[in-house]
Amino acid sequence: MTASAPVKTPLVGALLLMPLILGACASDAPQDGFSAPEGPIPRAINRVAHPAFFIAYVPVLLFVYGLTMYAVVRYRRKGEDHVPKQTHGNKAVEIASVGFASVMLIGLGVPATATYFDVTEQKNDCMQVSVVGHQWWWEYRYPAEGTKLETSYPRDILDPTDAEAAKAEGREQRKIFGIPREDRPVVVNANELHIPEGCNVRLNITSMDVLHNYWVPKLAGKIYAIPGKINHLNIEADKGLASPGKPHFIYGQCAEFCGTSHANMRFKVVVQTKEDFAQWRISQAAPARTARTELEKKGEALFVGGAACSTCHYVDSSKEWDVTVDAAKIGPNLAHVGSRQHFAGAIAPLDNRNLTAWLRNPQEFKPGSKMVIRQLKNDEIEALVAYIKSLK
Amino acid sequence: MALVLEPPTGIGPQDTPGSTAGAGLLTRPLENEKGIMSWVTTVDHKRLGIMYGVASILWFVIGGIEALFIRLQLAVPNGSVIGADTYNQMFTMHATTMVFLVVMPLSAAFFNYFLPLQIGARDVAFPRMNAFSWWAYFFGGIFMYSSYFLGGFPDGGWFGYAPNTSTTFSPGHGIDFWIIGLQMLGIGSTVSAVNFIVTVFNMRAPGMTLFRMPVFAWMTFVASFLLLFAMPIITVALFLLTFDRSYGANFFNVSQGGEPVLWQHLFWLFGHPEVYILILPAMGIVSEVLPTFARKPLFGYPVVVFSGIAIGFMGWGVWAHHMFAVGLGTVATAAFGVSTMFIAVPTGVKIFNWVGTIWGGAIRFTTAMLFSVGFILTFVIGGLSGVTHSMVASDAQQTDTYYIVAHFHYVLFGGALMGLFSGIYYWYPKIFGRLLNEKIGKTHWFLMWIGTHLTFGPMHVVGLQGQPRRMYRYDTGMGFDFWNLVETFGAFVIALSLLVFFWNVIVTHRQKGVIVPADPWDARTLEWMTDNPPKPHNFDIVPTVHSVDEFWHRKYAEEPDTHRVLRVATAEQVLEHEYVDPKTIHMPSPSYWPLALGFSLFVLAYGALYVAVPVMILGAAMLIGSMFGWAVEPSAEPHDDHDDHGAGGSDALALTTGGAH
Repeated sequence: MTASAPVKTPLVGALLLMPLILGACASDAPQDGFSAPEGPIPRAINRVAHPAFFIAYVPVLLFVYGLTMYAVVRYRRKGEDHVPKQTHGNKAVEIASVGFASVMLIGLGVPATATYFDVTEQKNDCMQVSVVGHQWWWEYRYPAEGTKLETSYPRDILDPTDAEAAKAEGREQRKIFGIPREDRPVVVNANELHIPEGCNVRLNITSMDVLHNYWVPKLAGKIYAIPGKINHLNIEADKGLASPGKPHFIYGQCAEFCGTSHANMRFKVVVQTKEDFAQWRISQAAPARTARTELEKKGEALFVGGAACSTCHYVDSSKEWDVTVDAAKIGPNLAHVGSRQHFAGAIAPLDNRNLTAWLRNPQEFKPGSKMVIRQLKNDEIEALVAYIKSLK
Repeated sequence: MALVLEPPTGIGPQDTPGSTAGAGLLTRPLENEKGIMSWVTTVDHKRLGIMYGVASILWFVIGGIEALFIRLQLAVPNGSVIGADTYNQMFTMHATTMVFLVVMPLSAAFFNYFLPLQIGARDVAFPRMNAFSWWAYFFGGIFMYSSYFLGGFPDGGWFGYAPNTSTTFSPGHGIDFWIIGLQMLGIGSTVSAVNFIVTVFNMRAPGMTLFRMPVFAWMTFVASFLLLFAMPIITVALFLLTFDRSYGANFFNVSQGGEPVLWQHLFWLFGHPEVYILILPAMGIVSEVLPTFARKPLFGYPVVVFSGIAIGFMGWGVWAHHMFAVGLGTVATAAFGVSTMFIAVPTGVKIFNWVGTIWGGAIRFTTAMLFSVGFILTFVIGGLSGVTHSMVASDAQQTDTYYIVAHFHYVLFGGALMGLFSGIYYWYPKIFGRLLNEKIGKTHWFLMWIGTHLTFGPMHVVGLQGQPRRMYRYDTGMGFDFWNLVETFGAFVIALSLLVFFWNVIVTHRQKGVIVPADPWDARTLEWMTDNPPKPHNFDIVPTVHSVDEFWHRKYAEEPDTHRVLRVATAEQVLEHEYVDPKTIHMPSPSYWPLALGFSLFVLAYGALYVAVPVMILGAAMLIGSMFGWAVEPSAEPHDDHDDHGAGGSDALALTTGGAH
């Protein structure tokens, strides 16, 4: 066998594929933080990521490809007797390659590390929101206006129900895993995080069950939601994304594998103007609407009675899941569910068709869903859908 | 088991003539056993190498089919080929299979076959332990796959993050199969790591100093140390998880004060060195193939070796780069970012040295060479994307997306597996005495190269566009549709390339009477200084080594003035030697005990899984019985016409490996 010319053609052809693959990016991608960020944080990240990619990655790649291809084409064996000069190495080349790699890495490492410190430090934030991961949806807890909710996450606290008994028996008060009263939020919702545009929102992120990972590619990098631990993430949406009465929706997604329906643990960030956001917070803090029409009343009766929805769902936006209050209330707060655009881990728009399918068989709609509901008749579903949609 | 230089005299088999070991439980297999029994009882490193190779290729097919299911499900938005649960099982088993049942054992196949040959040894230091490693691997894999019939595959991911693996969130037995199966594989890996380290330290041919060892032997050596230190960590982690799941402990249970992040630290403290365990052998193979087909010594041999050692050391200081989004604190996270960047230096240096090797050479493009050059060109893509996510800030965007999936498939599929395939084509004539068909081989390479880039290239794009990993479906309108379809197409091109490979194997073995020349590639290292395939004792006369690339220097000489290289001997001339009676060379005898010990682990594993005490007792009894039988069985039966050399209840081969001994 001698060096065969036909090999060259496929090799070169194959190499030509690379830039095509790497270069062609589709434009319409709602989770693309690399080429279409909508906030200052991913833009800061891209200020180091883009040069790393286009100034370091691609040229070094082309350099190595160029050298290899040159060697491959140029230094072919010319007959069985062709024995080249036996070079064992070259000190200058070795030093140069160590130096080249080191200089390149320092050039990347310094700005990258500086940027990392920059995007993670606590800014002069306009609001803090607690974000709680559940299998497979996100819960948000907003503080009252003008206050900061830094600590609304469950931890070891003294059990308030044990205070008197402990005093009477002269022992230490029992500890439980929960949230102290004073840290309670005023508005609880699910799946859709509302933020005002143009200001830094600090998220305090935790989880109630397994690991999750909170990711809004266009607004920030990722951070894990870990049970028993609180992580922080700065997000900020550009001014001008929303206009009065017209919020801007940004896609988000759980990025850490968290069980069966990991793929269905999505969410939306709803960017609003400052005024709209203030208005929204007031409307969400209001008590839930009571049923008006006959159908809605029938639905409400089913909700608290026959279908037993209220076993797991609060219809009071000031209440979040808390084992010290009611351990069974593990479902999303539905006080103002009718005002949301999406439900079921934000995988589907909240409309009659989807709600009907959901109530008929939640596990078919969202595999592994923890929702337990008895087999409902068609008219019962109709009533429940009407009631749920009326909870604006 | 101590390594003894010479067996103790006065005790041993001469006291018990015939020495049917194990208190008569299992009669020792005959040395000239034929057929399947000769394979089941073998302790020959070459046969075990083939067994590793065949088993890992079979599992490669299974892991590949799992990958095809994954790609079929993701071919179009909201795919419905397999459901969410099945998908989660598929990606868990795909990764676990490819890491533990394919790339590691396929590397081990080459370790087994070529490490002793390359350093001029007759076998590894502990031949029966070597066989036991294989059985632990085999039964571990079978055990894990038996979960399919006993309640379903594990579905917690190959990383098994707590607390998703707790009984609360994974109540079935899938995770238990995963844990105990990995423990068995870990036992096999640790034992073989010890074996290879001792082999390198003690079994080298006369004159074979460490710095005359071929680079593949060096990388085996480094990878074995990594294995030796990494496996205990995952073992501990898995034991903690077992205690949590089966015995009510709370290591990872938050509500009882446990810490799920602890699992991640333990897992990646094992998991990152594991990455280098997967890639270093392939780097070693490439470092053998490139010089052979460029007819030049490896450029910067000491630099390549030291880079491998440096990677081995630095590999322990970068584990938290798998955890940049965990929230370890900014300083800790940034520090690991920096350490990760620095590991790119020795890796980059290796790439430049490989290019330096072919530079100015006389390149002959065989299939093996194509795979090795292909290795450089795909690995460099994966290596550079690795640098882009060592930058912590941008990794916060990239981690857990398909960009990472692209990265490690370029490193482990385009890298490790391309390197291993290069090794298969390069050493096939050595192992089987037949050359794989070059034309079909080149087709295989071409399809695999195209398939690799079609499958994993677009993952960079969708990853940067925000497609997270491990999702059984995605919506349309996210910009993922087109590239996912391309990826699925690419996966089938890879599958096709493997069919071509199998076709090649069939075609090669259907040819009758093909005799491979002694030195088909004009190679450079010791393993080619013997027959194809080698005799059981490898070398009739163990060569004395004078330099790196010993074989080459016996064939070629350099004119001192002109530096012209001239051929001074043909391979046949180099191989010529006086007749040596094989009976004078003592090799370890076959044994049932490695199989018995491996099988007792298998029984014990089911007992532990179902917490079934009688089965556990049975397994433990078998285990202790096998160990006893093993201990009283001499490693080699004494020959009638010879002394008691090699006997004495130790596994150690005699260390002086001179010819007529």
